[in-house]
Amino acid sequence: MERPIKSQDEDVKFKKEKSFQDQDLESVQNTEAGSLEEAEAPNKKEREEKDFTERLLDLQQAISEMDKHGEEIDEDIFENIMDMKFSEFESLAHSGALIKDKDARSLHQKVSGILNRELVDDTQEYKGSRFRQIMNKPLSKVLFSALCLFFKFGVPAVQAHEIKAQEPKKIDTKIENSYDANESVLRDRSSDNTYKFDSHEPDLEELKDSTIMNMAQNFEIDKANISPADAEKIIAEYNNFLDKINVKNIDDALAKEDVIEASSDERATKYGAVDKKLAPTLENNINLTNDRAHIAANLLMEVKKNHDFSKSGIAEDKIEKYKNKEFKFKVPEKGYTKITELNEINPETGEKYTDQEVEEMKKNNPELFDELTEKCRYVSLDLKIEFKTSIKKVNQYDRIIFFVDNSPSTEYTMNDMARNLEELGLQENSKGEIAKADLVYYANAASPVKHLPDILAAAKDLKEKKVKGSSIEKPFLSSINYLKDLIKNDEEIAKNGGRVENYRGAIFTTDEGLQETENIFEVVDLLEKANIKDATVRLYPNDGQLPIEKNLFEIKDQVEKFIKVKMSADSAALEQSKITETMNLNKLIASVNEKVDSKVIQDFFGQEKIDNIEMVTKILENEDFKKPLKSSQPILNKLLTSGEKLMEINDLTEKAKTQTFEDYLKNTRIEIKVFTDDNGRQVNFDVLGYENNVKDKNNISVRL
Amino acid sequence: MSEINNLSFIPFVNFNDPVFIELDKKIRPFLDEKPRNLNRELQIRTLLYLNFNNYLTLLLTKADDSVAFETLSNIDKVSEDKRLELILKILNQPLEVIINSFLELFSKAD
Repeated sequence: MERPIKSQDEDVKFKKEKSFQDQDLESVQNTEAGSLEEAEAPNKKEREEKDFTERLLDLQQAISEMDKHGEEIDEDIFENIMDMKFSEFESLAHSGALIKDKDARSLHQKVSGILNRELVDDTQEYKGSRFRQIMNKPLSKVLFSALCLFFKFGVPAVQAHEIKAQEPKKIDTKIENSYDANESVLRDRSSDNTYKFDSHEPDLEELKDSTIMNMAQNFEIDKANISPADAEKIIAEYNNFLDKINVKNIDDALAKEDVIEASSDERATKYGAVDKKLAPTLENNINLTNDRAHIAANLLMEVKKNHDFSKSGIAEDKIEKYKNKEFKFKVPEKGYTKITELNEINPETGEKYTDQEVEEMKKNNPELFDELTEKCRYVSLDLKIEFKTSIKKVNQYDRIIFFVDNSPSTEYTMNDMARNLEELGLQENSKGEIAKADLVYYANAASPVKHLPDILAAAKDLKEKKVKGSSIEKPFLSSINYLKDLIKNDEEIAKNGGRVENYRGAIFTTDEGLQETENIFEVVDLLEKANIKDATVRLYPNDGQLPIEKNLFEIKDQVEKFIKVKMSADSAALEQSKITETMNLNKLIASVNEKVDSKVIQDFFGQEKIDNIEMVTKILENEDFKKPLKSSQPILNKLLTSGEKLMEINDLTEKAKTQTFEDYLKNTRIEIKVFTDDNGRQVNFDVLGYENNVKDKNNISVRL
Repeated sequence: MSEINNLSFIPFVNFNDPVFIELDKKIRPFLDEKPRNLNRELQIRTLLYLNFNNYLTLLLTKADDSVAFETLSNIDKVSEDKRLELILKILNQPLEVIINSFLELFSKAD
């Protein structure tokens, strides 16, 4: 790997660079070393490709370092790194086409251009990304695979095979204690006393995929590069998805269009600029967006081609067809999305942001600017294959109110939500009409309600929505204001003799657990007051599972029921502790009477023997008696400790006797969360209850 | 099984049942580790109660789907002091075996 550097000036700097770089590369390769050793030795071609990749990595590192110092790579350095003449490299990069002399740029600029995939044609005019053109030319195959996969991701192609053998991505591994269907036992429990109870055995056949895979965060800033670690994540996630393709859904998978949607934000970039000294321009954004989309597609294509479908039962010809099915692309015309183009509402004006407001935001509220620009950046693939909904009763309603979670993570599930609504929108109510729809987006706050003519319009709104709310989520709380307004409005209508619409249902959609659920009682109360006869929570696990549908009123009932069980169990535990401690104290009294000098007992208890527990508790009420005993009489200390505990239990027992459900609720924090298991299939609700001021959480989950 | 999944906590055995006295004795060493931590002790006892009942439900649902569904659906009609007897009959396992396997998991879990 180490190669001598001829140029002395660059030598020191580059060796330093190399040292760091080799470490980096080594760490990447170490992860594969074991598997490679065990596997068959790479064939010659693979070795060559790998070596070439390493050289490209070196080259990129050198170029980048020299750029920083305003220096340029020369022919000697190039040949030392790449083990080839620049002309050969250039020819390879241009698919064997002749390079005309009129490309007067320096070698450094040419190499930079090639590495940035800005292959110049003979007129020197940049014609946009040529990845697809290159891909179609046999001579460029090696360079293509190196540039697109190895160099950009730093992951040798063979790794795609290896990574798919890894464990599927754990979307949420917070499941603390699940039932192991194979062993018929409870397994494991977390240290915070969580108990999870579920015997559901997921039916794999029923699983339908409905995930949007977002890769924007995997790209380096202002580059179309993906780090090896991020590439691994993408590969693992896509392999996880491909594992779910089976005989039942392959036809749907073949029929659907795999579209990679991508956009950059409105900040100008130097990406693709031949002269890096020039200021960034917005014109460069299209190149960045296109290249990111293509880089993502190339990686996914490679993963797909290397995926092992042998256990899926799918016919060979269909597998082949699926493997060769290409990705399509959808990017904004300019390659970027402006904040003003988002459906984001400025809370101060109730309207979309204007250019002037965005300019002010840049100066005065950079955090918000960053948050909004993040919404403009995406490189995503909708992985949906088939999706079936089972919301019942929706056709009973004249109006459905949709509370749609638009926190950032719903980028993965928003299309699923939309698709569900579309299905619902096809249902007619008893009058042969499609229900009207009120649409409220929420995260930590609800957006202004949209009154739409029907559910299909709501579905359309969701589909077009690229806006994300805050990452601070309060699924129910944020909807309360809307419900309050609804009640107020109904009251006004009734006062004026109008007909109050009382035949409506509500659906809350979220991909999160139901946090802040202590307010579930408040929300349900409001739903009832707002004449909402039915409300359903739809939980969208963001890993391609079926959504979970639960009636909010039922959840509230179950939470209530569980709290009552918990109250009863707490009381019974207290009672049991009281019995145990009483027995313990009586034994200690007998020991003290037997072992401690009667004069000592006389000093403290006023008589030679302790008659009963009450004598102990009485003495404990006097702190003066207790203190001297602590240091000198171990058995008396034990006695007093036990007595104190019993008194504490008695106090709590008295308190529990008078405690009402409302008291308990007031002093208890309850959360309902939904968890998926390691395979992302099983969904449970966790009800967490712990009393305020008690450090150890009493965390118990129940099925709802 | 989907119907069963909708069921929540089912009290098969109450705290004052001799089974719990037995269970409580067996977890005593566990509690004695921190004799002055009353909150911890109460939590463990509450968990013992909830978990043991849930464990019985699990065993039942695993034993036979149809019987389990019927039993769990009608459990409210069975008086509390008869529930344990009923479930032992369905499971056809000695109580001692059930207790031991449960306690093994319970102690591991903490």
